[in-house]
Amino acid sequence: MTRSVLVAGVLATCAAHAELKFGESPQNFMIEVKAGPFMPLVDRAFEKGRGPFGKVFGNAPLIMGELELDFQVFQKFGSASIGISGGYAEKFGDSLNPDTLEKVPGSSTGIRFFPIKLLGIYRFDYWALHRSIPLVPYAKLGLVAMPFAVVNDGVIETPKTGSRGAGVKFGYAGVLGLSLLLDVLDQRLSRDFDNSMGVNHSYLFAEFALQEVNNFRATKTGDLDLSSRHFMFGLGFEF
Amino acid sequence: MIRFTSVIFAVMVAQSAFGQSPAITQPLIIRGGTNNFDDPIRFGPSRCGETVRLTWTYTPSLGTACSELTLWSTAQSSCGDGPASGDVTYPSVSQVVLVGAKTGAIDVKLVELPGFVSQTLSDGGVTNPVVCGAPDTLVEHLICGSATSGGLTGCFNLPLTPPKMRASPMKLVFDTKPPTAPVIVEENATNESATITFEKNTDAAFVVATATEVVEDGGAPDPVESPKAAATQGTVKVTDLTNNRTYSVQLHFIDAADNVGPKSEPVLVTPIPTVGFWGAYQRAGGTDQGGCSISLGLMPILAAAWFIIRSVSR
Repeated sequence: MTRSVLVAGVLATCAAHAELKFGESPQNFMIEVKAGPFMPLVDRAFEKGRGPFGKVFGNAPLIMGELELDFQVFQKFGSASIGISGGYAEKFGDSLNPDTLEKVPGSSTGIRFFPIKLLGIYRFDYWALHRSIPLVPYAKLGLVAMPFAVVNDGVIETPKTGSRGAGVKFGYAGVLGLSLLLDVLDQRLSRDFDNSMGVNHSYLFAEFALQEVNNFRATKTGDLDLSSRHFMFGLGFEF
Repeated sequence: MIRFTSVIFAVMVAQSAFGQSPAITQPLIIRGGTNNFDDPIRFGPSRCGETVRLTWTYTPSLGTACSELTLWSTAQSSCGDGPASGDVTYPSVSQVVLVGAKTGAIDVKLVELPGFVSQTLSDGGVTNPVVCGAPDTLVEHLICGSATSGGLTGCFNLPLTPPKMRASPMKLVFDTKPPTAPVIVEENATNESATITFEKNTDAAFVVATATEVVEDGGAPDPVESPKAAATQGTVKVTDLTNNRTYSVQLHFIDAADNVGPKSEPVLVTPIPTVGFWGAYQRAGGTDQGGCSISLGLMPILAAAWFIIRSVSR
């Protein structure tokens, strides 16, 4: 009985989506707004248990927010795009006593990340637009620039050794994701959205990102490795 | 009609049971400047010569105002329906202005409030005023207003003793009582600064920390004061100290009438240098020097950008 109800529900949804839209506005861009847990792999360049990132900030991930804009250059079989994204994440913890490396309550240190990515994207939306299956798998590949800044008691940390707790690391990123076409939930609202705002399609998506951000080289002991493996979730609008 | 008023009554009773004020808008409100109507204006001796401008606002809801608006100030704990013996009255507002303009101003000379002026009472006696400026004194005044309230049918067929629409009063408090001394809970030495945790005080507005270096030769170095912090914040930070030198730190409260309270018991604090994540990273053996490794990182991005531009231009 339960299986029958499920099958009937899927068929009804696909049938509703089988009524393809006509007279859509031109489609050239995609905007994505997303967020997810982000943990830089700084401590993998150090012995287990001696990593400075976990010592200062603990093991809970940061929340990374990102905004991405893609320009669609190919829309025949699926769509190919060139995109650029910008993001932000920060985390704070207690500063340390320089001699004992114990936490000093009432003091504060933090690290901020501002990732910028240049991406090539391919979305396989053929089934969603022509075969009534509202799922769009996609892949992205690109380059990453990760400016960062470390603050201690409100100012960028500059120890007497001369180095400065701010800079940029570079690397590459690969992303695999799956989008759910939201137009199927309310076709009329979707048409109205297109007529009034020019938004052709809306998506809910989840993606997994693999970033290697260590200046295009393998991690060595002592590196500031800002690589990560993390999920992102968000909303996308094609217009 | 009966069902409607029964519903309103039930709502008021229910909300009163939960300790909430009735949802029906207060028809008459007296406010002071940018304050909310339940935020008293506290003033000290330096303001005794001032005139404070208050605002009355009439918002018709159930019933309507059927008389002029009577305004007065009292040193009693409640307003009543009208000025009583010993109260100070202000020019009334006509019903036309009250119902038409729905808002207006009252200018109150602080030194003429009833608590400062000798008033002749109805029994022939006189009040015992306080001198505006007297130390260690707290005198509360209410600025009150009232008008005759008509029923749901308007101002016709009013009873012989019609009900009064009382304004939500504005409180003016002459306050020269200093706040109590702060109680320090914890002191933390940080980089060139000290963070002091204290018991919060809702009667005070601000807290200030003063740090004086402890010197052995009996000298009197200049103290370092923190900026004012909110007394309800619970912590205050004094900065611009020198690491590895011991300071005696005391706190004092300042209330909304600028009365300064006594200082707390002193605590000793020695600021110490701290390191943040970057210092911790270097001490763990980190080799990155920060900055931008242009030669390593920019070339692939520049190459990709060049390729894209060429592709698009074709």
